[in-house]
Amino acid sequence: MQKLARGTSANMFRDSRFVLVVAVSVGLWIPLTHLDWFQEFDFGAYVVRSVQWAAELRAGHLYPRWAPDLYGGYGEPLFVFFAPAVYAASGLLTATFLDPVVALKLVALAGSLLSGVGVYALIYGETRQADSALLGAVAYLAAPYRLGDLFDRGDFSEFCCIGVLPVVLALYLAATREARPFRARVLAACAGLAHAVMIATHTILGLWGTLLVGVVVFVRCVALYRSGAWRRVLPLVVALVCAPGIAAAYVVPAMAYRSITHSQALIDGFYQPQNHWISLRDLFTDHSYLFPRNFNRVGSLVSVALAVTVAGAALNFRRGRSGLVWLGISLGLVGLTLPVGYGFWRPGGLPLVQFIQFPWRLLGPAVLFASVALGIGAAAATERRVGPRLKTGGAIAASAALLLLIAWPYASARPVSSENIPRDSEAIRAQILSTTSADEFLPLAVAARPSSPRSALVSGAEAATIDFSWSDGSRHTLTVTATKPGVVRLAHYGFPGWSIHTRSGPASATLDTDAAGMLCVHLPKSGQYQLVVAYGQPPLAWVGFAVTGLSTLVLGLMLLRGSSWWPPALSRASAPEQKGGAA
Amino acid sequence: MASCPIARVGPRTEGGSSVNATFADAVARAQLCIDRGLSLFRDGFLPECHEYMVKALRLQLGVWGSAERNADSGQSEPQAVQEQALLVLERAGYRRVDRLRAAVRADELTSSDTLAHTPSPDFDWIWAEVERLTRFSAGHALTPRARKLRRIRRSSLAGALVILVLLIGCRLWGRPRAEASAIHSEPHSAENAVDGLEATEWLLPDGTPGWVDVVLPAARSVHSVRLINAHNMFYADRATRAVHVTAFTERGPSASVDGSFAAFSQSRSVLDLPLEARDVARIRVEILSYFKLGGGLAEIEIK
Repeated sequence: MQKLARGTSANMFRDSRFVLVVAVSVGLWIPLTHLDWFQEFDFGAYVVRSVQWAAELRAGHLYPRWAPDLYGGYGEPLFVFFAPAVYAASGLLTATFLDPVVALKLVALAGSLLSGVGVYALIYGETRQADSALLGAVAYLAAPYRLGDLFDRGDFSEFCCIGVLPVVLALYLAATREARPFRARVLAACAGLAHAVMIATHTILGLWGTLLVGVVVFVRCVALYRSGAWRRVLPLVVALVCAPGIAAAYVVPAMAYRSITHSQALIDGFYQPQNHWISLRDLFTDHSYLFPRNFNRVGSLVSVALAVTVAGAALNFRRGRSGLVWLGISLGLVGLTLPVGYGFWRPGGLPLVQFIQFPWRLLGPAVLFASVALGIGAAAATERRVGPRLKTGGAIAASAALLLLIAWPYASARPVSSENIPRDSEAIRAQILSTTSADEFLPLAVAARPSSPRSALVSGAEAATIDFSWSDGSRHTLTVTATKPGVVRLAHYGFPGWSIHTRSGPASATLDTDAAGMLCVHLPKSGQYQLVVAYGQPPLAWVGFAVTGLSTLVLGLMLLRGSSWWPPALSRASAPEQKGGAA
Repeated sequence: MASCPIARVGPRTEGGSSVNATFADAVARAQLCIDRGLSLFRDGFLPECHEYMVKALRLQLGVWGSAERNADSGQSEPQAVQEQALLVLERAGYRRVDRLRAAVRADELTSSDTLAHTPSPDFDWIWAEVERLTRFSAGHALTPRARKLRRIRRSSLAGALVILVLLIGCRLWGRPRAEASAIHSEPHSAENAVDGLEATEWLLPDGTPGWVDVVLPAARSVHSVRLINAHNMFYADRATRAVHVTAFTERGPSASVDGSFAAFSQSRSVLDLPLEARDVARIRVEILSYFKLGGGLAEIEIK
C-alpha cells in the first residue's frame, strides 16, 4: 500500500511546493520589470515584429503574413516564415491594451511560468513526489541556457518554446498513465494542441521537440503495449500525428515558399552549424568566444543530474531506471553540441538539420531532460530512506543552492533604452529596417535591401496617371487613368499572396512581379480603373489551413469516440439481450 | 450498501429529494477506489486496476439501487439492487443505460482468474462506463447549495469570457485607427490623435508639414470634425495653424474643408469644422502650416 499513499494528480497543484515553483518562475522573470529594454542579440526585432503583427491585426488580418512597413515600406513576407505563436500573443496585446515592450515582457512571464509548471507536472507525474518535482523544476528554471535565452539572446520564441516543451511532455505522459479512457483521450488531445503550439512558437526547436516527444511517447507506448493496454496507444499516436497537422497553417507555407526567398543565407557562412561548436570547456567555465556571458555553461547542472540519477538508480532501480533514459537523451543532446557531433550536422547529410544554425540551441531541451532525470533520481534515492520533513527540507535547500550557484550569475539583463526601437508603423517605415540579420526572407527576385525608404506607394507608371492612392498596411486602393494599355509599378515587393481586384474599369487589371521583384499592375485597356491590391494568404496557406482543419477534426472525433454521443459498438458477448432486459 | 440508514437516497428523483450523506460517502469511496486503480494502472497492474474499477462500479450501483428500495425493504439481492440502480439511473437522466448494463454483465462474467489468463482483455469500455457513471454520480452527490455555487461559478466564467472576447473585439476593430505621414518621436505616435486622451499628442517632425489619417472601423456618415490642437505639453513649442480636412470613401475623396486655429495656446484649443459626407472610410487631416517649431494634434473627433 505504500505506493498508493503517494500523491494523486488532484492535489498536484494544491501544494506549497507548487506555489514555490510558481514563485521562482516569476522571480526569475522579475529582472525584466526593472528595465525599459535590455541589450539582446536581436536589437529589438521582437518589438518591431509585434508592432507589425498588431497593425495588420487591427487592419483585419486574423493571421497576418506580410509585414508592410519593413524595408522602408517595401514590405516582407515575414510571418509566412516566422513561427507565429509569440507574435500572435504580443501582437494581440499590443493591438488591444498594451505597449509592445510590456506585451513582450508578459509573454516572457508566460514562458517562464510554463517552464516551471511544466517540469513540476512532468516530474510529479513520473514520481508522485512533490519534493522531487520542486527540485527538478527549480533546476530547469535555474538553467543558464534557459535564462540566457531571455536575458542575453532576447529570443522570446525559443524561450517560450522550451517552456511549452515540458508542458507537452507532461500532458502526453499523463495521457499514458491515465486509466480512465475519456480522461486519457482529453489529455492526449490537450497534448496534441500544446504540441502544435510548441511547433508554432519556434520552428527549429518545435520540430526538434517533436522528435524528442516522439521518442518519449514511443518508449511509453511500447510499455503500454507490453502491459496489455495497447488500446491506449491509438489516441497517443493520433495526437502525435495531428499536432504537426494542426500547426500546418504555419508549417506548410513556410516550407513551401522557403525556396523562393534568400533562405539559403540561413545556412551559409556564419550560420553554418559547423561554425558554432562549443567545447567541453564552454560547458563548465565562463569561457566563450561567442558571447559576453557564457550561458552555455550547463555542465554543472548536467553533472549534478548525472550523479543524482545514477545514485537513484543504484539505490532504487525500479523507480530510478526511467531517470537513466531521460539522462541518456540529455547527454546525447549535449553530445550533438560538441565537436564529436560533427558527423550529424555535416552538409549534405541528414535533410534540414543544417537549419538549426547553432547546435547549442539543443542545450535547452538537454537541460530539460537533465532536470527531469534529476527529479526522478532524487525521488528514487530518497523514497524509502528519507522522512518527509527531511525530504522537503532537503529539496528546498538544494533548490536554493541551485538558484544561488547556477542561476544567480545569469538572472539579470543589461538595460538599454527602448527609445531607439521603433514602436509604430510610421517610425518603422521611415527607415530601412529588417528584423533578420541575413535578409533571408526577402523574395529571391530582390537582389538586395533597398537603399532608402519608399516615398510613395506608386514608384512609376507607363501610359497611366495616378488619380488617387492610399495604403492601409498591406491593402492599397488606387484610382488610375490609362491613356492606352499601361503599367503601374508599386513600391512593394512581390510574393505569392498578392492579389488585385478591379472595382471598376474597362477591363480587369492584372498583377505580376518585375525583374527587380517589384509589384506591377498591368492595365490592358485605356480608361479609368479603381483597383484594390492586397496581400492576403499565399495560395499554399490554404492547403495548410485545410490540413489544420482536418487535424483538428480528427482530434475532435477522437475525443468524441467513446463518449456517450458516439460510443463504440458493444461486442456480441457483452451486449444486453434486449433493451431493459435483465442481464 | 444495501442497508442504507436514510430512507430516500439519490438526488434529482422525480420527487425532488436532496442528497444525503450516504450517497455522497459512497461516491467518495468509489472515487477512492478509482484513485487506487489509477495508481495500479500507472505501475502496469491492469487486472488489479480493473478490480478496483469494478469495485467502484458496484459501490455506485449499490447506492443508486438502494435509493428507492430502502424505503420499502431493508435487504436486497445484489443483482436486484443493480437492476433497480439501472432503472433509477435511467429515470435520473443517465444516457445509454444499456451500455452500463452491458458493463455490469461483463463484470459478472469475468472473474479475476479469467482476467489474469486473458492475454489482452478489453477493459477500456467498462472503465469508460465507470468513469461516466462516476462523473454522473459526483454531479448528483453535490448538495443543492454546492450545485448552485457551481452553476454560478460556471456562468460567471462564461460571462467573463464573453465580456473579454467582446472587449478584445471592440479594442481591435471597434475604434478608429490612425496613420501619419511622419512622427516627431516615439512618444508622439499617430495613435495619440485618436486615443481619446487630450493629454497625449501626435506631433510632426520639426518644420515639416504632413498628414494624419483616421481610419474608421466601418464606413459611416460624417457631419463635422473637431480638432484639438497640440502644444507639446510643458515645452509649448509647437501647434498646428492651418489644416485641410478631407473625407474619403473607399473610392476616393468625397468632401473637404479648410480651417485654421486662431493663435497658439497652451490651453485647450478647439477647431470645429463642418464636413458632410456619406460612406466615409477615413478622414485625412493635412497640416498645411504651424506655429513655432512644427505641427501636431492632440485629438481628432469625428461626429
